[in-house]
Amino acid sequence: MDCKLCKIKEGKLKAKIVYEDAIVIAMLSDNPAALGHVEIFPKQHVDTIEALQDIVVQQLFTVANTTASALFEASGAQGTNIVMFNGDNTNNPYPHLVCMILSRRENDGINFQWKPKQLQPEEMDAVQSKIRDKAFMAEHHEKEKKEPKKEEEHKKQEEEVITIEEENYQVKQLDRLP
Amino acid sequence: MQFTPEQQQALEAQKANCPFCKIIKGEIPSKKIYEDDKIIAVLDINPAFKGHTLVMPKEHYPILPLLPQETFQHLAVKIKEISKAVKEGVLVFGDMIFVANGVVAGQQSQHFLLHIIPREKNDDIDVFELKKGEIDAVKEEELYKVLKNNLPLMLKTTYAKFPLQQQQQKTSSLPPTSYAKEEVLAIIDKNIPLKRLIVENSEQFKALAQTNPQLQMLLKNVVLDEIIAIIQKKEVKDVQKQSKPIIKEAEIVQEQQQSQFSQSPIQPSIISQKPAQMDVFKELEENFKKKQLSEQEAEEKVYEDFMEVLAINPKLKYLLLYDMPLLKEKIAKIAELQDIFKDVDLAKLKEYVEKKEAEDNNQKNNENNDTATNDDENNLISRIG
Repeated sequence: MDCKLCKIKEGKLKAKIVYEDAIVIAMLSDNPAALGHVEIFPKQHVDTIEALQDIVVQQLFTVANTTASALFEASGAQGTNIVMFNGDNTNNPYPHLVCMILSRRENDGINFQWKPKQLQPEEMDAVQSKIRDKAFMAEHHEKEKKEPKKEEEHKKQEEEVITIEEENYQVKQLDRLP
Repeated sequence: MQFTPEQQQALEAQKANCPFCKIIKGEIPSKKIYEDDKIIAVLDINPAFKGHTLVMPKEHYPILPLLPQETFQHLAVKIKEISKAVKEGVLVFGDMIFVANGVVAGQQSQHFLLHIIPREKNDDIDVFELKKGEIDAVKEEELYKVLKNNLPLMLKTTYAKFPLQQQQQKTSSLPPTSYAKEEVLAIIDKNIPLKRLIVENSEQFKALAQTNPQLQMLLKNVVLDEIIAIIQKKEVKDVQKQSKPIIKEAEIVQEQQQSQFSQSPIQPSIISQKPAQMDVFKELEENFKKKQLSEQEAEEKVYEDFMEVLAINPKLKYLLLYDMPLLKEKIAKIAELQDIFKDVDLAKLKEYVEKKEAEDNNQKNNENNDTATNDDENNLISRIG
């Protein structure tokens, strides 16, 4: 595995681990952007949080929240940031899901202020309708997943047989042509 | 969190002016994408990227540490789903989940928000590329020791305070993990392929039940053999109910045939008289022919039903007429075909179908001929006249 975080988890690389349990590891960053930069990652090698179970996600958030409070008190910060790199193209320095906690002060050289864009109202409406359907579907999807799957197994067997019939029918039609 | 009275007053003043509280109440229009009783998600009006979403609890809290544990746990799970929905809706493969606690950190609203910002290659968002800063090594060491000491303790206390709530949410967010016997029977009833498998090949079902995780979960609290026995009994009853009317029809036909035959009993006194004998034998012949015809008719009735089936299934018809051995193979393999072709003489069925086809073709040809002759006449008339 080329993953630095997995090697740290296995103990092959040294790191300043601050907290460890069965699910996550929290450590001080190797390339800190400011004083008080903690990186939290799940032991399971995943790209996105969707691949994790609910309980693991809850644990991750709890550790992140508590770390933010601890940093706030310990380093005399005036604010904290929690940034989770969830997926591809996110400027994630690791190939593994990681959640960074940063303690912030004035004039610390970090600026998370993105450039706001003005989108056309039609675009906004289109995006809204697309996301909304999927967000509400997600709730009902889990309950419906289980039962249709069993039917699918048997349907597949029947479909295979019918396609064989079709092939023969077509081949035989060709034979009948003069 | 317990606030001092001054803090409480400040908080309530915040709430009154909070634009996001107004959005939640509906006083300001917004583009909602998800809502439930604890949280709400809307699109950002000035997005960093198409699909930039704000997720917030319905209650007003300034920063994340002040959220109560229940809302926090619920939020954590829902963020996972909303992030997936955003990625699927905007067709990207990654997004940032961003929280700012404090104005210095970039918090722009007084109501706690969580940003979900979709990311793409070569989007203009460069703020998340963290660069190494200048840090005092001594201070870092101190911080390391302090955190190493404090963080595990803080986490222990939070888990000590809220273990029950975690467990409760575990059971409520997951689907039911155990089914009662009636529920299992109801589910299997609805699922016809599964029912058929149990009835016909219960050993294969048992093997499947051990490998398939869904079946395992379904049958966890239930004795497998009991369920199989109940379902097999039910199926037999249902099949008997269905087959009864067909048997009745066949019986009726048999009775009719017997009554026809019994109408003219052979009496020895009649046979001895010669002239009348011929009439009697004629009658017998006629009755015998009628019986044959009625048998044929009975068969043809059954075959008529088949004609309907074959009309719907042209492939089956083709196989019956031109490829009998392949059809027999199919019947041996597929259960549905076995049901249809039970107790049917395929050769006779084929003859019947061929006969019907020939009749239909003749009718069509006659119709065509008629129209053709009409046209000829018209042509003649037009030429003459």
